[in-house]
Amino acid sequence: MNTDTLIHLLSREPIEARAMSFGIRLTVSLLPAVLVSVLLTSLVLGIQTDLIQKMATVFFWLKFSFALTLFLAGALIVIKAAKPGKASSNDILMLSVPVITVWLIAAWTVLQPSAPEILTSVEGSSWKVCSLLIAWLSMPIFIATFWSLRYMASTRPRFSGFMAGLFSGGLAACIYCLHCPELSPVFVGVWYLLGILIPAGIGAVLGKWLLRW
Amino acid sequence: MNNPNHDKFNALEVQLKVLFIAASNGDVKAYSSFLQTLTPYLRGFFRKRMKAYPDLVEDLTQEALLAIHLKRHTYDTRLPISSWVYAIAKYKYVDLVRSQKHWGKHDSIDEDLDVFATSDEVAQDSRRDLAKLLQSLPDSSRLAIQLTKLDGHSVKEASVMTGMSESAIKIGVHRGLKKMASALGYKYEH
Repeated sequence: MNTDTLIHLLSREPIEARAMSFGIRLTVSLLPAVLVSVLLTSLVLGIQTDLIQKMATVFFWLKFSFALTLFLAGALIVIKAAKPGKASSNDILMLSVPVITVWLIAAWTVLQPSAPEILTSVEGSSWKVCSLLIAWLSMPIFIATFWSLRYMASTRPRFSGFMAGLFSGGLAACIYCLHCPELSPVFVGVWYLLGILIPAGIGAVLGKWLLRW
Repeated sequence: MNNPNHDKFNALEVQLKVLFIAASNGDVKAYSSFLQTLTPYLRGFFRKRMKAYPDLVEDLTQEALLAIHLKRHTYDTRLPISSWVYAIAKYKYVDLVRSQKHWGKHDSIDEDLDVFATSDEVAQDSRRDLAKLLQSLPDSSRLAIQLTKLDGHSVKEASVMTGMSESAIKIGVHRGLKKMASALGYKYEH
């Protein structure tokens, strides 16, 4: 086809009035996904019976904030990377803040004289399932995020896929706090992190295909 | 600031941005002239990067135009429109190059053919010229150069083979080279 013909065809197509902003689109698509994950957690896994008591502890909030900050930082980066032409920056370094904070606190708790054996804190009571459950819970969120991202135009599909996975994992980990009985920062620094990195890794692999445009 | 290209770029940036914003408010004419203004720059961008595949330049230009059209909701009006267009054009270019991994092979084959063809031709030419030049030299010089410089014998060997003295060989080489150099328009100094 001749380029002039193409220009003619394109310019005849009606121009959408203000398109929906990506943030709104993402939020709208996330609502049902989060609902599914919350329902799965409460109906299939079950909410902890002593959740209210646990919520009075610092360590519960440390665990929750760890997941929440990874989710928020991931969201910020995903939204920024979704449009062509934004200067790349070192935003990704933000992600190291929650990780290093949790690791430092974990190291501090391990060094306490009254601390239990380190292996006991690492294993907790649910180490075998924690990461996998977070990864599973992230699936609906992951799908919703990718669906929204496909509408956009990331010039770095693999990177965007990774960040979208991380973002989904972080949000899933927040929801998983309803079920998870663990409080140790050592446990969080290992298994939560791994659980969040699983969807991130899958996102990086799938991003190359799913986010191409 | 006095760089005329800089001013030209700024004027283009402003023009395209105004057109695009008018277009996204429903001005069909503005959109058409936005695409028309942009196209030669897109074409130039790809032509510069696709020197080996000039027939793909137009394909890429159309691909980029289509992408700009389909993703026009991803332009953030706070950014320069040139950086948005550049990012899309670069993405399309990189995407094409990555999807054509076999190009690497084609490239090297073409290059090899090219190199062989030209270097072969050139070598023949220079050999013929050298033979012609040698013919024009007196026998002593020609023999001395042939034996020591072309056939790779030492001065001593050449002396034994020709019956000339070693210094006569050296003088023959020197004079011969000097003559050949001046015939080619060079100055021979040694």
